[in-house]
Amino acid sequence: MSAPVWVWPTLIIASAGAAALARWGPAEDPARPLVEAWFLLVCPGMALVRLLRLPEPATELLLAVALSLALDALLPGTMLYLGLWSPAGGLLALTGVSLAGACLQLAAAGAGRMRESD
Amino acid sequence: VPLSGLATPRPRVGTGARAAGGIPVSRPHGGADWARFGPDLLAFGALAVWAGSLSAIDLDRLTDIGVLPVLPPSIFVAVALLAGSFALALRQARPSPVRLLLHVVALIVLVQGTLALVEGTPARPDAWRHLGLVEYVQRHGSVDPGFTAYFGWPSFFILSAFAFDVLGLKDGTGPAVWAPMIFNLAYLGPLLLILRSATPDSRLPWLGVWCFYLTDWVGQDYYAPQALAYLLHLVIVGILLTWFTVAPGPLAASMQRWLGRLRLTPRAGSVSWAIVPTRARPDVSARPGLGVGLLAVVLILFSVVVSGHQLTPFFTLSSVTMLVAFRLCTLRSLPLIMFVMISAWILYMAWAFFSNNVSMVLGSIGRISDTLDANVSERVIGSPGHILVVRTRIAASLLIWIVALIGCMKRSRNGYRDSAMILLALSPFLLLPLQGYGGEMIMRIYVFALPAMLFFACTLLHVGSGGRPSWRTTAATAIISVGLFGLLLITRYGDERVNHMTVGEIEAVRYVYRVAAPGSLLVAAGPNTSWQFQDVDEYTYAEFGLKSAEDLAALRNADLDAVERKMEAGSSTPAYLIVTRSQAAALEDVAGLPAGTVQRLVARLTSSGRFRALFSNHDAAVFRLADAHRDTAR
Repeated sequence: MSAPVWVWPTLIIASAGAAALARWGPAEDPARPLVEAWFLLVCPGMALVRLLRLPEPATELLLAVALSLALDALLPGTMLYLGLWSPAGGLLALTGVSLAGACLQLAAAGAGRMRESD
Repeated sequence: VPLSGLATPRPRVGTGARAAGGIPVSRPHGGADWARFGPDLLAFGALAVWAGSLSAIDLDRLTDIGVLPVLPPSIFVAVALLAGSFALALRQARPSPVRLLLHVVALIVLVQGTLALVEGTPARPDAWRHLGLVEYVQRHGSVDPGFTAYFGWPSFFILSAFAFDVLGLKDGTGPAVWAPMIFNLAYLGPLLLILRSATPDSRLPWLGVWCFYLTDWVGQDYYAPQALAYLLHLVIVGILLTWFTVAPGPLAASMQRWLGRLRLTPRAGSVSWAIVPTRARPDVSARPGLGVGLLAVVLILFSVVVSGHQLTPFFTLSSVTMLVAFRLCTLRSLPLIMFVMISAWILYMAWAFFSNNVSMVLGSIGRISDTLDANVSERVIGSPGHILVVRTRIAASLLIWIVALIGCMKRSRNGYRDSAMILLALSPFLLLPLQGYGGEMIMRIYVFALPAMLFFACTLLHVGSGGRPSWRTTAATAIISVGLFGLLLITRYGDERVNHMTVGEIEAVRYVYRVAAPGSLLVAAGPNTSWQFQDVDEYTYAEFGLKSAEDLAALRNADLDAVERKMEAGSSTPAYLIVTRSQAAALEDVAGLPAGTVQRLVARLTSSGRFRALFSNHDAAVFRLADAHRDTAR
């Protein structure tokens, strides 16, 4: 059974916020490794994979983790080859991808509801 | 309609009702609660017994056959309970995926977590070297392919450097300790995706992944680029088999006719290649965005494989090419795209390595005999225990392949069409004539072919007709699982005395990095040293190598002149000699030097007056040339 369409976008946006807070927040967060690991392992990939509207949540999660790992390697890697190595910049880029994907999911859900009401 | 799982059961007369009729509905009866929750109780019992066994493991007693002698019998009790529990869970009328998942996870924890918990440090010197390359990326913010071949394919190191920084970790030792367990947990999803694509049966894929964790002795799942690349390879193959498969074309039909001539499949030539969908799946052609999106995912994953490991992209290319060549995959141009990606990366990004090693890379093409020698006969060396371990690995691998072949023949006889699985089992072997890969090609082939091989091997236990396993099959599953676990202790953990890097050894190397000025020469008194995990580019390294007869003779004779020559190789730079327990283990187990060789060397170094002991503990010692002698020698 799939979760309601707003659950994952909300979770991704909240996770991106928590990851940013853990990284740049004023106090040292003991949960930082867990918060960042969750964000890096799931969120960028899930933000994009959800747009494919796969039927099985388990398969969705599997592809999301694989895609997240790939993006975690590719975005910082591109920055490194461009001479712009910056883990903070990489995290910012992944946050951007995650937020963009989450917003697209919400927009697609909204468009779907409008079509149904028409 | 894109269909996957080229398994079309042709039920035999008399068995078709059950196979076609699906899973029988369970009937409520008095023993229902036990039947339902019995496996859970056994599994919890297994984990409790396992947890209680950990304190009894004494790693000081590791031998040249690895961990087997140091494990308490209760570990086998735990495995037997878990295997029995899994077999019962598999036999339930409606096997619960959650229950089966928890059993496989428990097995992974038991197999991979035991040594991680007991050892507490990353095993294998390579893992420590990889940590050093990650630290290099963090320090420099760049990679230099001229410095090391690893940086020709740096994705894994960049990912690690980035992640460790974002997670706020001081170093990657913790993740490296748990890497084998984490990677194996990650393999579970794509393995299920692949195996589920081959059969509508709900039990066979779980049996396949269960056996994967009992037969993957190769151990390439430690903290290393190939572990990540293997994960992404599995996901790519899983995506292709799930969403991009089609009914076989003429080539696959030819293969089937060919199998028919071999009498593997009665009436094969006349059997239709009709495909039935194994599960309801989205139709990628009906939703163009889905196909394009999944293809983009495949290419993104493959770009990390290409930039992350030298060998894995070729295994992926080989598998995809076979699927496309036999018209089982709709992405006809994918092999070409993958080939271009691999070539572009080698020519533009890894050229520094390739241009300097053209003869090494291309020189072994077609020299299968040399490759087999390097991969098989040249590895059967060392102490009697180590030779037993290597021979057991060879025998276990052959056994899996033979059982898989028998299983494939049995499936064919029963009318199943498993073209994709057959191709996935065979495609890794295409790389055998191309490269010896430093004597590791066959073991890589083994692990890349393993999911498909196990699919066929497991059909001997459970044919995958959708029916419920008999009690005999259930008992056999449990017994074989325990047997495979025992075998795994030898095949996978037979080198643990060599691979285990103790805290004492790490302390000694950390001491050297603390006191040695940048530019110093660090000399290892043998192979297999847990060093280079920090400031790797600041020092020069030398070692007594496993493949140098001169070095081995020097160590055998405790030749202090040879040691001194090695340490003087840095001329004016200070030199430090590091002697460790795992070097001694490698020299005794793999090189076959007499027991006590390194201890004799340490005694001579200490008593000669020519060397000064700077540091020593139970597992390691650090020496420098005594200043007075060094001055005289100059």
